[in-house]
Amino acid sequence: MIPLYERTPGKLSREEVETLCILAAVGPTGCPGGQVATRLGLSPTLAAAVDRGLEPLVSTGLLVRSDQRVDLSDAGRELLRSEAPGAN
Amino acid sequence: MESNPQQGFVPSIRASLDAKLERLLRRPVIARVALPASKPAPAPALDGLFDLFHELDDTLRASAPAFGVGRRRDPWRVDPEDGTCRVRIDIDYDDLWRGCEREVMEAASGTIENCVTLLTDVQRLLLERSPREFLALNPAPEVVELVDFERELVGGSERVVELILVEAPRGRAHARHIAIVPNLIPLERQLAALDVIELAPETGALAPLRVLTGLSDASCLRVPSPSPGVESAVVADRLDEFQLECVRKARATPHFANIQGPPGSGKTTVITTIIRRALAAGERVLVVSPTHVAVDNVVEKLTPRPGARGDDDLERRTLPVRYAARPKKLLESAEVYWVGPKKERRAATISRRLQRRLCAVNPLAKRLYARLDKDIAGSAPLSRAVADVQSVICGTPIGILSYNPVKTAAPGEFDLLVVDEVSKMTLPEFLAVAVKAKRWVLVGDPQQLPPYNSAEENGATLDDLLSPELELVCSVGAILERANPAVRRDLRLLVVCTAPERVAAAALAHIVEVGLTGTPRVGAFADGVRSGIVLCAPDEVGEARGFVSPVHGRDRTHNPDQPGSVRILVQRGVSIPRPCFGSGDRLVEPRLRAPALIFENAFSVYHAQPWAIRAEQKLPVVAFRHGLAKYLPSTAAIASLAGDGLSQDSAAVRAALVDAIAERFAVNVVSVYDWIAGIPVEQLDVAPLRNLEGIARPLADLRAAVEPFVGTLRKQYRMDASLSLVPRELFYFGEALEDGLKSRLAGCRVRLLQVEADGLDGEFNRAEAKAICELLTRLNSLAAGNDEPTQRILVITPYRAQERELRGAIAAVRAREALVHIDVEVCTLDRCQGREAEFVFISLVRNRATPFMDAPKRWNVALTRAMQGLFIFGDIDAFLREAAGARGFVARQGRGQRPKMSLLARILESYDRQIAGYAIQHPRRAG
Repeated sequence: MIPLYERTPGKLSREEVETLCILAAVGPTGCPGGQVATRLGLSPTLAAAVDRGLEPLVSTGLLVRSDQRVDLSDAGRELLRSEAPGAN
Repeated sequence: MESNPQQGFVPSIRASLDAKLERLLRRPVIARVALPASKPAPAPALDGLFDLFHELDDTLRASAPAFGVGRRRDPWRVDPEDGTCRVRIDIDYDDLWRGCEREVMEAASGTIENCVTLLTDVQRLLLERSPREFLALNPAPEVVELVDFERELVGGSERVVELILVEAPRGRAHARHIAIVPNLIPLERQLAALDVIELAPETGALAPLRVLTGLSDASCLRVPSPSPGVESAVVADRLDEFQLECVRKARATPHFANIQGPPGSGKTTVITTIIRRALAAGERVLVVSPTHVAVDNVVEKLTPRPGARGDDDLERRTLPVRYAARPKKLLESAEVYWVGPKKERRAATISRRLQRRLCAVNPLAKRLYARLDKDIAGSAPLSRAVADVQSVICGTPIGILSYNPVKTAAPGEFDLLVVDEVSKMTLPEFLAVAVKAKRWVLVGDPQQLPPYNSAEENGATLDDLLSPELELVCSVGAILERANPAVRRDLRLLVVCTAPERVAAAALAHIVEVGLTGTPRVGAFADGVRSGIVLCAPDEVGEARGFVSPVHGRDRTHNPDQPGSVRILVQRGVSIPRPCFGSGDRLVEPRLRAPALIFENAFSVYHAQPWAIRAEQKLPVVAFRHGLAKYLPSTAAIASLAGDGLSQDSAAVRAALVDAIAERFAVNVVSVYDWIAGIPVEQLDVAPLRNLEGIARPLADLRAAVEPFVGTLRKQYRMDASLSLVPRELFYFGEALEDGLKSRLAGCRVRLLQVEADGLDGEFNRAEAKAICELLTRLNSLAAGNDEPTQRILVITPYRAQERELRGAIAAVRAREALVHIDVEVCTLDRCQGREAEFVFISLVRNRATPFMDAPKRWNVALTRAMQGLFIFGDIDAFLREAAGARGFVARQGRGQRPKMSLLARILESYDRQIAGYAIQHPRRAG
């Protein structure tokens, strides 16, 4: 298959940027899902929406959800370390 | 007829909607897709190769008809620039639509911005034979939006010959026909809403809507609860005292709030403040208005301007969703919030705002976004999550119901519905979207444009009340009433009906009772009547037409355009073969039959008479109100058709009938603002309008419950003080439209510009268009010389023909020189609401008023659009002479008389006095 777009090394897609922002906000110690919006610097009124927005990251294995909390998975921690060193 | 305690006004609303649906499906205009006239394509140069093939091809091309073959031609022509698609059509004007060119034209006009339906042969057959089954087809036939159409003048009447579609239809290869049927979806949605309200519990969220439709009494309405914290927050929004009061009422109401907002009084500011407060309280809000421009104004104001401090729309969740079928109708400022049925631009907007927000508060995010490559596709999780937060959704009342989050919302799911320009909405239109909310803030101005009245469409809503024969009798009365009394006796009318003798007797009785004089002979063809109003059975048409037609000689018909013609009035539901018509014959169109005329006249009187009474002026249009009695069924006609003599029963039947007609009028023409704030029955003295009392009475309790939540914005901030004076005195009687700001501009900013009439009494005026263009050119060069910012100019005219004329003239000016310093927009009186401009030019076109022009609400809107200057072009002297004549007559007659003059005469007289008064006070500045 011919790639439609050739990526420039070091560049990120919007999906990757937002994913990394979320991973950094969750942090190594994890947090309740409802707190991610505040940790991102967004309004608490968006807490529920942002919490719902974590689902794709949980299903791709970057986050782990247990009860109301979310934590970084090993893959998530690795991604954060490689793409955003110093975030932790 | 008062509302039935069990069913309220619902049967009337349902019957009206059913009748409108039925009308649209009864006789759909179906056109055949036609091949365009083609030019032979040039032969390809083959350079001596394939000689035999080349020769054969040339031979075929030269004599294709002889061979019976031709090149395939595509009837669909796509414009590569804008993607629109033109298709040539054939409409059966020789038989099915003979004499009905106007009807076809209206169907096409009514379908613009709606969809036409592509049909195969089988689908056409189904639509003609069983429209309801056609509607249920699954999959439904392809529909495409109609952008415009081309017309041709054939034999004195315009015919629709080509359609311009928004895009090329996917299934065009199979389409053989195109149905031009105005959009049925709004009516179906209104019916669906009615079902929801009927099934809603008496004390649930929709209880107020049940009260409004007469299903429940007002005792079930909840008592208002205080709304803490509102006041301090709105003070910060720098509202004036009236705006503040209105916001407070809107926030406090447990059901309806009615806010009257005269032009430029800050309605949009109030609406956005209400929305912000509702969002801050965690509520979900729907915002609708019948016009796109009003919705866009709210969207524009709702979102913070770049750099606005402490007003982050992500923070406050005020990021609106602006739904529309296509973004091209939207203002640029609103387009970024657009979501449509096909593609979403909103996600991109949200991504950008999210990026700005995260970068502002998070250094890591800033570093990461610095590495962003926008061209890499992906599904951003945060953007998507925030995009799903749709706390405020804006659109038109019917359009917004196509948007899935609204369409699928449960009744009462939204906390608040804000309706702007509510004076333009009828009750069923309001109910269609109102069922989605549980509180309603209605903002509008009853002194501005009323709901659109398609008299013919609304007239069809009386079909179930007036039997075909009774309607025929009323239509005969209407035709006689409208005929010039001097030639009424010479009128020739062929009435085709199933029981000619019976209808003839009823028509005679009707004519006598309503007091029509100077009428021609009326009788059945079978009884030997051969002139005047001849009634015949469908199978007698051919023979009767020959007799009624003048063979030769003088003809004094009332219609000078059609000498020698016969007007043919056909009973509803009866069809006659068209070839039996004479060449100049005209069917009496639905718009000239009694039901449509009842609506047309009652509409004019309803909206003009209360003003005329307060303004102490006799308006010619109001004087026509006595004609209404001739269009309404008379007791004698009812008794005659029932086969008994005049009795108490027939009087009671008539009274009930007129009450029911009044109810249909209220449902289809009276704005929902009036339904809630009160119908001005005390100022209406003619049936069926005075019968509106039957509706006003059951709604009195609702009015009392809403009373604490009714507010008026009294100050205006748009117009210079010299521009607001006349509208304030003339249309608001000094009770609103006070100037909120001190005038910063010098002099009286109104000019009346005399343009000599060109002798034509049509709906366009070239001399005025030319004068306007000259002034535009001058204004452009002045703005250039003074380095002024671009000036917005709104050119307003009553008629579409003049609108076209003006557009053409302005385009011609633009072709000569660039009008870069002015931004000119041309629109009609009925389309200017919601707009404003630094300068407004009004082209009056005619030098005498017509019933259409005698509409205070229309002129109030037109005269209040200007911010800095108003220029009125026309035969000003003619109107001033009319005013002076009326005043002189009253002076001679003595006290107690009201001057009878047209509204325009009164308006121009007021401006003339204002200008003269200013000239006396400031002789140097007077221009």
